[in-house]
Amino acid sequence: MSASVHKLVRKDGKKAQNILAPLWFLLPALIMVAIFIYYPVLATANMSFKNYKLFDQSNIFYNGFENFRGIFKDLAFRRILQNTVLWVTVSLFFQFFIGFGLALYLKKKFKFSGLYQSIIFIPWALSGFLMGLVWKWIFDDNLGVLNDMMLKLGLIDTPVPWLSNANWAMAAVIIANIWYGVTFFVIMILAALQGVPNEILEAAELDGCGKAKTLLLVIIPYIRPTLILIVLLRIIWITNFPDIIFGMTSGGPNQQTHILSSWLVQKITYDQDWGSGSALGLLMLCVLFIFTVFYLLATRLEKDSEGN
Amino acid sequence: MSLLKSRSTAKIPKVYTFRRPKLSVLSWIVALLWLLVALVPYFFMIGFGFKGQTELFSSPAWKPPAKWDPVNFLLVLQGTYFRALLNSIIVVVVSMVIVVLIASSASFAFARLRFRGNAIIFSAVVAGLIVPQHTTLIPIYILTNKLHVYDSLAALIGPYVAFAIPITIFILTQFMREIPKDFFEAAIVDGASHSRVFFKVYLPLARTALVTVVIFNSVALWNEFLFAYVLTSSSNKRTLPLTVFDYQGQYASNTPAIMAALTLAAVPLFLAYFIFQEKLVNGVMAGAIKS
Repeated sequence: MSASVHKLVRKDGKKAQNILAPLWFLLPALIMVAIFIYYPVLATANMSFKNYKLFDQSNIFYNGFENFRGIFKDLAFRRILQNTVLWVTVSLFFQFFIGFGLALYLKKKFKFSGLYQSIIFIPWALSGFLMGLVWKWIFDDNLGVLNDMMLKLGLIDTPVPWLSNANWAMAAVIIANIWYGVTFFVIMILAALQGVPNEILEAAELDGCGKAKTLLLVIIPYIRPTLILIVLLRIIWITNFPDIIFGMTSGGPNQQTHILSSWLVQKITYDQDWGSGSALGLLMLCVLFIFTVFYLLATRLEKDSEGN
Repeated sequence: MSLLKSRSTAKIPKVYTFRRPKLSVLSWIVALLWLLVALVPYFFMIGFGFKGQTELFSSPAWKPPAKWDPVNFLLVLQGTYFRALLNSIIVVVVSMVIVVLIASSASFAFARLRFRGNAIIFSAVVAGLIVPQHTTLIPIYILTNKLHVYDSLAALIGPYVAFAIPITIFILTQFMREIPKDFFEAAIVDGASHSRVFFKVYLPLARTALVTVVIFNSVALWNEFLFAYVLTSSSNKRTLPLTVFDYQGQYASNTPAIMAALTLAAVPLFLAYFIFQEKLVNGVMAGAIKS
């Protein structure tokens, strides 16, 4: 009895003494995030209402919504918006299903599976930009490996204008992006699959579930919350991943393969129009934020209606 | 591994236990197919690196080089390759040490300490995930100049650490919440301070999740391009990806030299993947997102 009282007192004493404890644990991380994420976002929001061109620094002034108007009026804007949607949805679709398929295979142990698993990482041996340079040579209109092979195999009669035609170029960058992103899904889904308790699988087999049925009715519902989360993360990352496009096409021909994030990088680094770049960045952030909120609400609502 | 273990201990009649896992023919085909797809770009990259400039344009792309002449590779190695390699290692290691320390301590607080605004502050940090890095490029560039660290490796550490924090805290907090609360309460009752509980109990127990975030973040930072492009300029401050990018300007028309540089840039991670093999995948999976 006395021991427990003693403990309680000590516990309370500790609590009072440690009122600042959370702060010390949190502060370093919070400071970094505040300086390098939150402050820059606010500064960008501020700059997006300014006429701010790096090559014309004597002429910086607030110009209201001029930068936003400029973006919407840009002739390439509609195309870039379409590209972004295409880039995200098509990349995500193929990355997800290829990744899921590979993860199902890799779940089983087999000879060399250790070595094989490390091969899953291989696309990530180079940064996206540098990988884009390699893919550029594979898709090259005249000297490219792909055209060369398809001509030899008789699949095509004339070279496909992979990088000089806007639509083909868009297909080419998306193919490269799919290749680069499968790794993420394999790892994440593999991890989720390993988390499925064996008892459930055995119960399913006892109940006479076939492989397909087990997958659809047992495994997928079980890992669904994880899938929802990694798909969201992936959508955000694909949206914010202009590297491959820069390596392969730099947004060309004629701005036709830009997505929002690569257009943003071009505005900042090549055009040096920081006002317009900031406005675009702010727009992207708002769109992603709204999307994320809706995505989370939608998946949560669905969950609630299922009675979870 | 754990799957196999739990299988062998399960008390189920042998008839019903799962067949010993074997890959069917179809599975082998799929696995090999992806292996091929994953490696194909690298085959060409390496092959091109050994070709001569005229050979590149005259011979079919898929044809192996006439002779395996390492001249392009030597050219690259004579440049700032090793300096860039060292820079990359320094930046990634320093960033990761900082990230692990400050993100794990914050995750501990989010997971186990009770304070006002816990959920809100946690959400605010994790919300950093949706911020496009490019959006922050200009302010960080200006900030870097103001702090007089422009064109130094130190300039990269700040944004690298900051942008690794949201996902790291997200994964670690989740993981630490799974560690039984009794551990925490027992230690506190025994008179241990919070920091002692963190260092002696939670940090060691979160090791698997730490491995995961370290691998993921290290690969991402090793391959980071944009901040390094904007925040450094001189050749001896460039990280590996940027050094190859600079070669691209330097040897504009010498594609084989660029391909050789790309190959050499890929070597470190190739080696790492080969050496760590399944440790890598198991490590990443152990602490991956489980909601």
